Amino acid sequence: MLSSDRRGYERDPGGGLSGEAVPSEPLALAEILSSRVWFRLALGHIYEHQSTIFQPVGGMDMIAKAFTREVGGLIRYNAKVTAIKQDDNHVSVIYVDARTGGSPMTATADWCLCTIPLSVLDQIDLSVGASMTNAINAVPYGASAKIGLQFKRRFWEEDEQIYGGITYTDLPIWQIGYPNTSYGSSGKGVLLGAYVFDSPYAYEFTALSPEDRLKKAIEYGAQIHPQYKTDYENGIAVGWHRVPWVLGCFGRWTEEARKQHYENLCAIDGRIALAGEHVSNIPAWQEGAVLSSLDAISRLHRQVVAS
Amino acid sequence: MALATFLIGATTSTAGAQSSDGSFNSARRFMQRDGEVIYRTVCQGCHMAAAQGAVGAGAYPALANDPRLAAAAYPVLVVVNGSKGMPPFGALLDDEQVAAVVNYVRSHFGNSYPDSVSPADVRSMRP
Repeated sequence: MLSSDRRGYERDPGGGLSGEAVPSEPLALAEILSSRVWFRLALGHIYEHQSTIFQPVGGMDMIAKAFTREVGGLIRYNAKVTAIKQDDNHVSVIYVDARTGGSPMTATADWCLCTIPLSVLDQIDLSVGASMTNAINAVPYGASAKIGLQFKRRFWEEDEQIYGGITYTDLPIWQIGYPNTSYGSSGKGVLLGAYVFDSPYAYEFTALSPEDRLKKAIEYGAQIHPQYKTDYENGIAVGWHRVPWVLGCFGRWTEEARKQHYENLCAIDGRIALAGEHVSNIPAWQEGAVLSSLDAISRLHRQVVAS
Repeated sequence: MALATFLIGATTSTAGAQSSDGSFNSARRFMQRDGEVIYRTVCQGCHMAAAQGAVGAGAYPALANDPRLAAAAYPVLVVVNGSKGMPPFGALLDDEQVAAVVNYVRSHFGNSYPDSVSPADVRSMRP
């Protein structure tokens, strides 16, 4: 009975005459060990997850939209960069309209802080030295897939008293994320139905059509929540290697590559400097991208003021 | 996201609903054995279903009608070690799997190179 205080009950303690608790049957030791539950238990304890992590209201792209609000007039959309040239005084960026093509256009400035992912930058004609070129070519891009599933009702709340948080599983979907907002609301709800990265599963989800990715995620998720079968409405699936402007999810540094190339990637080459999560020690995090830009801008500023 | 954690936490799935072709069977290694299956469940993610490649802000090279596949060592080295943005697959595929998928691509999609690579060839080219 005592151990059920930790693992839960067959019937929960309640009130009055109907409230007698019934202890649950403990899992067999072998079952616990083979589930490798320890890895999942450790996840919340890694340093990156120890601090409180907030979600922007409306989703992560609200951060990008806030940038648009502040500097929107300066952004040129659908510009596909084909070359970045520099001389002693200027940097010229040559680009075409990504939708209509047409003749190349040129934007010229004193300095260039380039945030194009390395997986794309390594295909662009770029006038920088060998050490930065080698660094740009040294970073492969990791695979990841993410799937959102919309249901008729918030069955996880109504049926199972799950309010936010994440279910971790060794199924190929790896996790099911529940919305941490609008608890108890009626009507539709959206789950994160799969989130995989840096694993065969990430490549295998990417290789499927979006429809088949959804089918797989529903098939696996239904083993945990049978309500998937009756309450699913529609969904969206992204494999990052299929995203045309990034060709992968994040710069996948190894310790060896970092030792050999990281400083060369960060160094200002003439009038060109790079920024993005790939130029940070926190790959794949938006925070890495923001911190790398602040670092690069500060160094550029010092150089400009001193010259 | 927490990459380091999942590198440690990734584990072979013991749960049901595994695909019979070997895909979605392990979080650590690809379990597919057949060259065509490896292409369809892995390579196709970028090089596309007809090996035609793709074009966005950057491009994925086509493998169809590809003269660069003439020397078998080249695709073996690229699959094992990666190339620029393409990740290395040497730790996710064994010698037999690398040979199987390279032989498949070199004999399909308009490629018809008569020679093939063996697992021993692949082993000798690993770093």
